[in-house]
Amino acid sequence: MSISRRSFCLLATATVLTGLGLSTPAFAENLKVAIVLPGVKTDKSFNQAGYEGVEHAAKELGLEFAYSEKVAQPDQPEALADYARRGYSVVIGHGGEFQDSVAKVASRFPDTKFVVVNGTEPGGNVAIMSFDFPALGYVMGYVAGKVSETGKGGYIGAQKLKFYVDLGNGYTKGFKAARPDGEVLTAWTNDWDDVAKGKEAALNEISQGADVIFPSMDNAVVGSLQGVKEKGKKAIGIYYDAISDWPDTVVQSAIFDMRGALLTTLTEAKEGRLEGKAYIYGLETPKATRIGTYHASVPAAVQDEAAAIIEKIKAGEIDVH
Amino acid sequence: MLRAIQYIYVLRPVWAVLAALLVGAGLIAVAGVNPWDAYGALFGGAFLDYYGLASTLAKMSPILLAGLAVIVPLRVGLLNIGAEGQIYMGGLFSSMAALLLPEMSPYLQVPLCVLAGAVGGGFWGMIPGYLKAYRGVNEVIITILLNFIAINLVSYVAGGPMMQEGAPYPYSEEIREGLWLPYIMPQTDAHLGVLAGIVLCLAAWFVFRFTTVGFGLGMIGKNPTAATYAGIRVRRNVVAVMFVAGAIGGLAGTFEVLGLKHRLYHLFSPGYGFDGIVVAFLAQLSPLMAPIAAFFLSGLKVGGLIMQRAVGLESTVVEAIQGLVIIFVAVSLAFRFDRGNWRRFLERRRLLDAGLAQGVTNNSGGTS
Repeated sequence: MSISRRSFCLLATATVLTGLGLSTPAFAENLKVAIVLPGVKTDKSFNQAGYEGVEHAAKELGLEFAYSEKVAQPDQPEALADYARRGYSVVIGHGGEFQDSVAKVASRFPDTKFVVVNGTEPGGNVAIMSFDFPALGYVMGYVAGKVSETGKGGYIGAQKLKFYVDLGNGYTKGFKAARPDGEVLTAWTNDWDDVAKGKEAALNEISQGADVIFPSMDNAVVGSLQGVKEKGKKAIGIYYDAISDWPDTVVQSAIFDMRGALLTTLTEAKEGRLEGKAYIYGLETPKATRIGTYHASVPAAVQDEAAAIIEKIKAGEIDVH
Repeated sequence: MLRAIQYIYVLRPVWAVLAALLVGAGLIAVAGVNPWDAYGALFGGAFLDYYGLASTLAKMSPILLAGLAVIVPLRVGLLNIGAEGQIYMGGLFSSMAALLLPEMSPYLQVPLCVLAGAVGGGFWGMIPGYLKAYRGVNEVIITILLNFIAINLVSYVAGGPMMQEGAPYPYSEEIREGLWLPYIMPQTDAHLGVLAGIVLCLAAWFVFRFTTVGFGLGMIGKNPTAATYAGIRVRRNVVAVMFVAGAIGGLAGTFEVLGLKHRLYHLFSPGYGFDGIVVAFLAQLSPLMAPIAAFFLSGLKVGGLIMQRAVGLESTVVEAIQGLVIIFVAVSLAFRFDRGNWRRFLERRRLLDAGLAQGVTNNSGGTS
């Protein structure tokens, strides 16, 4: 039987397809990590933190890494699956919106480990990675409560996502622990990046008497801090030690360090210990979750009390939820 | 000869795409990647690989329907920039039908969901249609503005009243599996939506080509005054066409929810409505060409992502290439085939050739 050109093409295609199907990701020797980002890696915020975190961890641990940026929602499952097919043994979906796509894709690639940053449902070969938002929120609330003159704090979030609701609740609880008669006003702006809206929300809370504002959006935080600065009130920074940019305004910062968190998670992966469970980094992992620098106006006594509270939270003596 | 030149003109989007890819190759080379490898990954990944082809088809569903939602009104002289908003309204209404209606047989509820999505999008398209027909308001502006309203409405609903308890991202509860659209390629995301889109394209072609309704609509597009004189109810037809266009856009959103996402997500469409405009121009307003144009554009988008993963190009370069394709195609459409001009040109050439042939004998050049 002679092989015609057409049947040869079919045969070739079939061979390639089976080849793709059979090539299961190799494990161990050289760990290959891929991260799928919903936005651009230069957004000075969530996406950049994820990209730099993986880049840093790859350098530190000697891993091979790849990334895709600005992957729109409909493309996310395919991007994850494609990396798994290409033999990446750890595939990270950067953001809670990956929870569903990862769950869908993960069952098709049982040998690949998937990590959902800010995910909610671990299991099988899906790990989730997040921070203990309420714990650090509690500490911030405590400091804010001690610093506040009016007895009113303010919390500003973008959307009522689980983690940011938890963060606000922790903040409120901490604030009330410092001042049992205190009160925390909460505002949701529905926009992570709109600086003007962030400022508006802060001014609004200040006009209602709040004097320590804790904004938790992305770029919009800048607007809130600007508003707080103009009114001469105090604020809590988020994600990095914000006092470096706002020396007069920020009294303390809730540092959720994506770099440290990803390094810790990928170290687990490199040593073959990554499991389908929740990796929630709390105060006991200062590499990922820690407090920043105090403003000079915060009394030493308050700083000591806050340190004691951190120890108590670590020991499980305070329920922050 | 004239006919050959005419065909070259008909195929001008193809030449434009090739020229754009050539310029894009320069960009890729500047980014430090071999253009040959990059384009190999793009086209091989989008059209020849099983999974790549499946994602091309999954993406083609909303892009094709959005394209049809632009083509149909444009043939009647209405520019629908609002397909994006109609997609969102379709997604919103269909997911509401899927999640809020009491559970019933899928054979009843799936058509209900699809109908709800179509009506939602259609209603959104009818607003600019009505304002245009009875109040003379520019439909371009209204459709653009309605996009923002629809997008934000879905963000509000997906992050507020319909949001799943404790969700890590603004999205609704999952739609139960019985209501999902069937997949057309096993183990992938390619769903039935793309076939529905192709069927609708054929239907649109049939209506415009063979029915009196279609003829009347085409007439409104060419000359509304003449159409009125001929006894066609122009206003009523404008509203109806915008309803149909909106309904088609709504179906794009419906299939996206029922076929792909299975939840109502905040920001679930990354601009498919605007891709629809590109499809309409690529297809030169022909419903029959629309599937080809949509297939190509979806492949370009999927392949762009594969290219990014395979050779490590930054997303900005990939987007620049897609932008180049669109600009080149848009510009190419400005070159119109002018039969008279070309005939005169060919005539002159023939005279020149004849003159030259004479000039060989009596040694004097012929000019014209």
